[in-house]
Amino acid sequence: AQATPSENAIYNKEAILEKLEDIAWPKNVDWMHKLTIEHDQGGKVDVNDDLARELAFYTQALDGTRQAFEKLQSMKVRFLRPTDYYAEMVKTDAHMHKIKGRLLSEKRRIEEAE
Amino acid sequence: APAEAGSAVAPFRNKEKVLITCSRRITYRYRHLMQDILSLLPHAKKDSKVESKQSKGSALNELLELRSCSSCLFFECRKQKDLYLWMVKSPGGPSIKFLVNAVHTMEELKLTGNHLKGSRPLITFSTNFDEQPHWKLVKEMITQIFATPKDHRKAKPFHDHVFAFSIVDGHVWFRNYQISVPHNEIDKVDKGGLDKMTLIEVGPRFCLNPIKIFGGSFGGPTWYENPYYISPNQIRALEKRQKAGKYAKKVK
Repeated sequence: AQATPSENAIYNKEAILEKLEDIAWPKNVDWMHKLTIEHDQGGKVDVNDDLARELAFYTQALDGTRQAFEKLQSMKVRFLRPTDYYAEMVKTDAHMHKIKGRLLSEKRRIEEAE
Repeated sequence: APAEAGSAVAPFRNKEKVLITCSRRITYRYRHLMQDILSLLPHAKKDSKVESKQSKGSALNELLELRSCSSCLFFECRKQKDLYLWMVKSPGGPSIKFLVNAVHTMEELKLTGNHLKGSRPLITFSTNFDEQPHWKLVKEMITQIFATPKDHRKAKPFHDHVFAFSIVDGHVWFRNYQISVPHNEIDKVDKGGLDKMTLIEVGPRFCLNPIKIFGGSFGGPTWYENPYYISPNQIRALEKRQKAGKYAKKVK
């Protein structure tokens, strides 16, 4: 938001990098521990353009997931949820029901308008 | 450690435990955000609210030791409107203080995705995290705090959601998506399934603006100050001042 950066802001790069080395996991740690993927945004993303911004995040996640899934498949491990596997979800059934209700009512509204 | 000769180094085990807590008089939306994050981190423990005053640092450090946690996410709410997030490694530091913006919680109905509670997330980073030392540190801290430890007893062995951490305009943006991909087996997707993969946003959403990095746990020497940071108080004051001149101009 600010146009001119303040000039006397502290930035101790050496100390930060030293600490980073201190706390970092071992360099050769197995990828299965981290599950991280890097994605190049390719050029600057305009923050004020909501659509462009969200698309950039979506592309990053999608591209990353594809790479990760290829990796997981090559390792021959089980990583996809079986269709008959039921367990607690982050959102409750009651909440998902509400979401469904909203989607349906929205669809109906659009149809009526047509 | 394994008994075979030659492998003297014990295999790496992630024993991260995250303490999640907030300051008193936090607003309900920010509290919901905290609870959303808690539900995404099966290796996190919640503690009761902490009084936000000068001595909060030592109180929180004590709490971290007591609960034997190796890191902390502390949500500090001020003036019932500004939310700050402390990301801390314990006991040796460092600590990063962020201002939290653009908050959307999982409760909002427009985010239609859902995923297993406790499944380990895939974590994606934009490559600009590797450009500067302070962003590198932020990336390492996020990885350690947000990655669910492998073989954690509460973790489920499937991967059905993905986090996106992205730096845009000097802020870290967070998104959480459900992964939807056609599959009949559990160790591979259907033929051409990767192309048909779609993501459905689950939430929450938030945006982190780094303010300062300290060398210790909730304190210590300052190592980084964001030169572009303006506090919300200053922004409000500025807006007020701009509004104040309006009438005088009209009268003239």
